[in-house]
Amino acid sequence: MRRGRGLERLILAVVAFDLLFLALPTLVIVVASFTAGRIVAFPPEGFSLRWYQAILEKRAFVDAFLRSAYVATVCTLISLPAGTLAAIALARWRLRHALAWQLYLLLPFTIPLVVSGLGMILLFGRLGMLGMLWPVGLALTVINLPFMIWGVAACVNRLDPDLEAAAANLGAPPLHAFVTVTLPAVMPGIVTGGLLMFILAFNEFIVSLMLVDARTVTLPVLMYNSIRSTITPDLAALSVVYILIAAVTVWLLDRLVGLETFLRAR
Amino acid sequence: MPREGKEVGVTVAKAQGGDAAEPMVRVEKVSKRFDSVLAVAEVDFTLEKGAFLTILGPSGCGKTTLLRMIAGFIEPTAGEIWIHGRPVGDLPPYRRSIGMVFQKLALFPHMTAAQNIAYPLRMRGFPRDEIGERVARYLRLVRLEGLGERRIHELSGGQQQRVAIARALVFEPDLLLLDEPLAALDRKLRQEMQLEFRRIQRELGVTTINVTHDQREALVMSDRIMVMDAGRVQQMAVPETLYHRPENRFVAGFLGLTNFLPGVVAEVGAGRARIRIGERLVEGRMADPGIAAGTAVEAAVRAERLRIFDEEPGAGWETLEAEILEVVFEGERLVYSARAETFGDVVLRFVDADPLRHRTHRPGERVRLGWRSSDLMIFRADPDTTRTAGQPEREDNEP
Repeated sequence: MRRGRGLERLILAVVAFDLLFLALPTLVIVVASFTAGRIVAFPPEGFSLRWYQAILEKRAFVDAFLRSAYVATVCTLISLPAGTLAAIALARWRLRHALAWQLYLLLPFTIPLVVSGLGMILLFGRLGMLGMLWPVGLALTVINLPFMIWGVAACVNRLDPDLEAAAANLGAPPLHAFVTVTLPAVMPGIVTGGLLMFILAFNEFIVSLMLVDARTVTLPVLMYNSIRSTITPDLAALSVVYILIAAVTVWLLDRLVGLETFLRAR
Repeated sequence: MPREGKEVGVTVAKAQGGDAAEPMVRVEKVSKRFDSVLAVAEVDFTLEKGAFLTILGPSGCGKTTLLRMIAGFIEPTAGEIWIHGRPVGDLPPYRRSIGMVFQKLALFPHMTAAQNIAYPLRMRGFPRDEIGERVARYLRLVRLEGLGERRIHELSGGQQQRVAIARALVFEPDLLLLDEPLAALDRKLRQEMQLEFRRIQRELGVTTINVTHDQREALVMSDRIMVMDAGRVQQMAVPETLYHRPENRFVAGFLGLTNFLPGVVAEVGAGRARIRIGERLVEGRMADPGIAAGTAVEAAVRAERLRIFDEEPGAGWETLEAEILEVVFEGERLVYSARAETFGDVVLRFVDADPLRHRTHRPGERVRLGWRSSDLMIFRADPDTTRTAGQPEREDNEP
């Protein structure tokens, strides 16, 4: 009994340490962002919101933020139809070489981002699209599409395979059945995948770094560039903006799909 | 209402006049081949308006394929299907007037119960008022008043079944198809829903084809039963005929708890024969016509037709001595296994349907077993099943 108690305490300690460790970097940066001093430090010097004011006043940050939002929106808009249709086709139709298709669609995961980025530079350069912003969204769609497909496929696989047959039996022609039954039934997966694509594109760094220039720089790239010169507390404040966006996404996911459903789907 | 499908058909025909002479469903020489497998082989049958037919058979016998061909989800390789006097070969499923309850129900998860039931009406462009009125009427019919606004996942298994059947019937289709919708339910709920489906079917008089591998369900629900095996119709008859007068060994083995005894025909009479089983010569009824002397046969006797006798019974009974091997208590009855040495050591199973009144016999005890010679059915031995000959068939063909 006593030994059991000891083991229980040990496990509790390990779990507590893990939880703390997971949250630690985030906590440190949040606390540091409220500093009143001129350098990033932990523990911070005093308390103020001056660095939040600073990022709002700095034109480059606001523009980069808007560019990131634009890129993420483009990426999400392209991946919604592409990923949804691919997932439904893979899960529902008895495709010839279904496994090969699946592997092909997962290809972006197996290739280092640097390699993908290099390919995009060559391709976009050839097409004269380097230096434009929207192709960055397209590139991020390509590298992250498996997330969208997984989100929808997890949902499709839980559906009754006879759902469309039932719609047909009840009088719905194929396109009607798709719009009124299949699509709404997989909507939780589409929302999950879409939110995931948005946040991933908003945060993406490596491929963006390779594709943007000074005029099209996105927020993560801009932050990286700033860190290389001087680390000022405004970067900590920017990091908190990221944490807020992540929190909003999780909140939306919970409101629209239910976190329980989302976590079960993984 | 009488149980016999033919009589149901006749009464409806009278009520409807000449028009109803045409059966509601006519299936003519319908076959389906999947690559090298013949899933359904030249199935022929007709079904009168208002009748309840169950297609019964083991998994893989082709019953679901046949049902899906009628629904229009699978195209027959050969043959033609008529519904309400019209060939449906060129009609896609959404143009056929057929309601179907699917195996896993296929209810639309993003809709409420009422929206599910309204779906076929919306697809057919019914006016708003009538949709509301009909949905309410069918919710009442399936006893779900007040639950229309519930989402599907907020309903119990039995309630979901009721939504599915209301949705399949609300547009008053010519034909209702049931694709084993009760298979996933626990025994008690399943038996309740069997009676419920039957009640609704009778109330509306809708022609119904049910598919199942559960013989009890088939016997309880149907006007007629069609037994299928290996893609072919083995026998189609009213439940009583099917149970008491099976036409071949497969049907005899698929329904009920049946003992099979391998033997050879010694002597043939009018509808009867004497056959040799082990050391014994016994008389039985010829269930397969045209068996000549010297043919290898299997004699079948239902477990409930075998009885223990303390004294020698009178004329018309055959008896033999057997040693009890095992007794299984099933609540309302006991199931015995016994070895009959004079029958070539074959193991016989028999039931005591009133265990409280009778002494329970212990393993090792010797008893005298008797049966009426008219209860012994003689079938041509199936070359495929000779290896299992003598083994009693499983009674519940349930998963």
